[in-house]
Amino acid sequence: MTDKRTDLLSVTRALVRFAQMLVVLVMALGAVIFIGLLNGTGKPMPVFTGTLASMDPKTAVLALRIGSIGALCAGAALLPLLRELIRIIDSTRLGDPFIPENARRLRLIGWLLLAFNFCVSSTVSLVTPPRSGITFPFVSLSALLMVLLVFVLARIFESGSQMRAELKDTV
Amino acid sequence: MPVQVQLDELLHARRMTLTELADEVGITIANLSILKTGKAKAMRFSTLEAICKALDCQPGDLLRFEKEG
Repeated sequence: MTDKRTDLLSVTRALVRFAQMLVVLVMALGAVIFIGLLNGTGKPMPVFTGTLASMDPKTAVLALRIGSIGALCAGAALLPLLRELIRIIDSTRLGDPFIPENARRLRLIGWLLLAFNFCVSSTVSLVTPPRSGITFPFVSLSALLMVLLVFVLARIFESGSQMRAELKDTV
Repeated sequence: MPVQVQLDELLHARRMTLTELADEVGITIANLSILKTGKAKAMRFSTLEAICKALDCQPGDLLRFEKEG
C-alpha cells in the first residue's frame, strides 16, 4: 500500500520534471518567435498554417507577438510553480508533508496558478476572434475555483503543521 | 512552565533509573527525557497511567503546579 503510494509520487515527480522541460522548451520557442518577429519582414512564417495563414500578414504577426509574450509570461509563472510542487512532493516522500514550509509553498502555488491562468486566458482572448456566448475575458471560472481550492489547502496545511508540531512534543 | 514534572524526584526516591522506567512503561528514553526536562507540551493519559503504575504513585505526585512571578 505504502509502496504503491510512493510509486505514484515518483511517477508524479517524473511527470512534473517532464513538464518543467516542456515549459522551458515552449518559453524558448516563444522567445525565438518574438525575437524573429522583431527583425522579420512582416510576412508570417511559412511553417504556420490554419488560422494564422488565413489572417492578413500584419494581424498574423501581431497575433504571434502577443502569443509569444503570453507564452513567456505563462512559463515564468509555471516554472516556479512546478519547482515548489516538486519540493512538496519531496517532503511527502520523506514522510512528513505537514511542515510550515509546505503551507507557504501552497500559498505561493495559488498565486502563481492565478498568474498563469491570467496569462493564458488573456492571451487566448486577445489572439482568437471573439466567440458567441458568455466568456470571462481574463480568468476562467474553473481556474478561479482551482486557485481558491489551493488557498484552502494551504490553510489546511498550516493548521496541520501546527498540530503536527504539537504532537511531536506530546509524550 | 508553571506545571512541573517531578520525575527526577520520584525516580530518586524509588532508586530507579530513567532507563529502567523506560523499559517498564514502554516509552523511549528520548520521550521520557523530554518529559523530565519540562520540554513536553502535552502528556497523554495513557503515559500518565503507565508512569503512575510503574512508580506506584498518583498523578498529583508526578505533576506540580507553581504560580509564575
